[in-house]
Amino acid sequence: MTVSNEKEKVTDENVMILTGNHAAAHAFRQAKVGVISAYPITPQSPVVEKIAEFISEGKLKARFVKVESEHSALAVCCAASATGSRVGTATSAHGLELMYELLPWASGNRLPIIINLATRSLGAPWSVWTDHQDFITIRDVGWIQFICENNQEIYDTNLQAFKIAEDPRLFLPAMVAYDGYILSHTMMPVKLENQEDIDNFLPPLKHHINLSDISNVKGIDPVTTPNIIKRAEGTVPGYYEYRYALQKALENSIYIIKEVHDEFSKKFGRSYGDGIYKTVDTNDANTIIFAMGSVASQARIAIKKLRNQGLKVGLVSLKLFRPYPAEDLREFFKDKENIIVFDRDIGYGYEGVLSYELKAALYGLKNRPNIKGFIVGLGGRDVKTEHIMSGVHKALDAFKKGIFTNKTDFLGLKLEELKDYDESTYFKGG
Amino acid sequence: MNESKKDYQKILGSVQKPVKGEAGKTGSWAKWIPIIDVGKCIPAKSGKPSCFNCWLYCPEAVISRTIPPKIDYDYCKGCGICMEECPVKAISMEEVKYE
Repeated sequence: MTVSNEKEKVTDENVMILTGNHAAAHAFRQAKVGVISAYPITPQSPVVEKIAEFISEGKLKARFVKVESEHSALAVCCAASATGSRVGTATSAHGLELMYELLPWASGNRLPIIINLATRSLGAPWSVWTDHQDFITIRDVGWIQFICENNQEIYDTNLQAFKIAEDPRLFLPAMVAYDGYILSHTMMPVKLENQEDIDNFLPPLKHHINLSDISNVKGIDPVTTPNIIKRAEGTVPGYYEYRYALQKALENSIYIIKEVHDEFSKKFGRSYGDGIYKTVDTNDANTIIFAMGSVASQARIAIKKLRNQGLKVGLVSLKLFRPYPAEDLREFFKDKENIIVFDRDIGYGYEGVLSYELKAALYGLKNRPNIKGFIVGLGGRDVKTEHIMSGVHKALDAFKKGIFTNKTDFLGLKLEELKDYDESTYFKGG
Repeated sequence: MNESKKDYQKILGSVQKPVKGEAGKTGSWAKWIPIIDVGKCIPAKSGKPSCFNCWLYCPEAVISRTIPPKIDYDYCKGCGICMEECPVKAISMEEVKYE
């Protein structure tokens, strides 16, 4: 028997069977990222392992910088980006939290770095399984944050993210997130586009800063005073003006994200809603499920079953988490009756982040929809179709009775299986 | 092209050109200052552009790449790195007496 080499041949026209992590790595290869610096962490590691493979095989001409921690990884990315190079990395959970200190430096310096985030819950207790806690925890640092529902979307969103981040009207760092294991380690068919088409879509980065130009020596990030001051080179903004510009760029980015998504879908024939959120069966629906990532993909099945029960249910799957598309959502939800939000995260001490942010976004609507939030699947607990269906029924019941509360409601808890659990036996003696 | 940009699109990262003396005359911080003994200094002795370790290692860039090397005491903070790096021990530190 002869083994055909055909299977191993990688050409861009091919649809390949890829994990989410490898889809991200292929996007990096085809985006011709110049510098990658990363530190391994479960479940992200295969992204950078694959990239290292591409570099060693000569398929990607890039510099891979090995470092001793995620903090250093993003520090290298910031410096490399400031030399005008296209830069990216990938991480998960505590790796992202260790990067936290550098995240606002990247956004404040307007460095278009891309992070791929395979989402994972935060310890303690120690866990390597998915939820969105790492993703939502860094929401206030000024990065664009996308979340994906399948591996093709990871590949496509990465390509768009580079174009959005490097847009001369923006210059903002961006993050592409996808559920750890559920996408990161699950294989799906992914269509890889022709390199030529991608080169056309994504021209080389024209950065606003290039520190490698030693004929024009500059320093970035001098101490920036509260007020506008005069320096030798002229009048320069104060900290307040820089932060105003960052916020306005983020607000403005929603239009550019739609524009790039439009261009992408025209060119490659795949679209994800309007690039901001995706809808399923919402036209005739008066009850909408609002979720993101893995929870939204599970809800796609739940709405079919709920419709069989005679409920007019639709789904809005949020794709862009930051900047928060409040105006788009207000416009969409203005004539809806009920919204049921499923959060795979908690703003600890309050409630699910998607839930309270949506409530705030709809403030001021004349006929505000009823909103109830549920917590699901923390630390990788399976989010089942039944959980989502029971949540919808529970919420509709509560709306009928006029019960509205901010207290969290957990679906899929198994407290009844803990009848024999006696915490005192765990810590006896020793 | 810049005119079509909105005000906030012009303000990007905070960038600065290096300017001498922006933080005042930092040489006044020095408790010790380095003195070069031109009798021992390699470029001074040989008359050739060589060594220049003091120029290379000075973190404040106050030592000139000249024969002999000269120190700008207005901005030398007296860290002593040049003394440490000089291969022929031509640099010694002298205490500054403030009144």
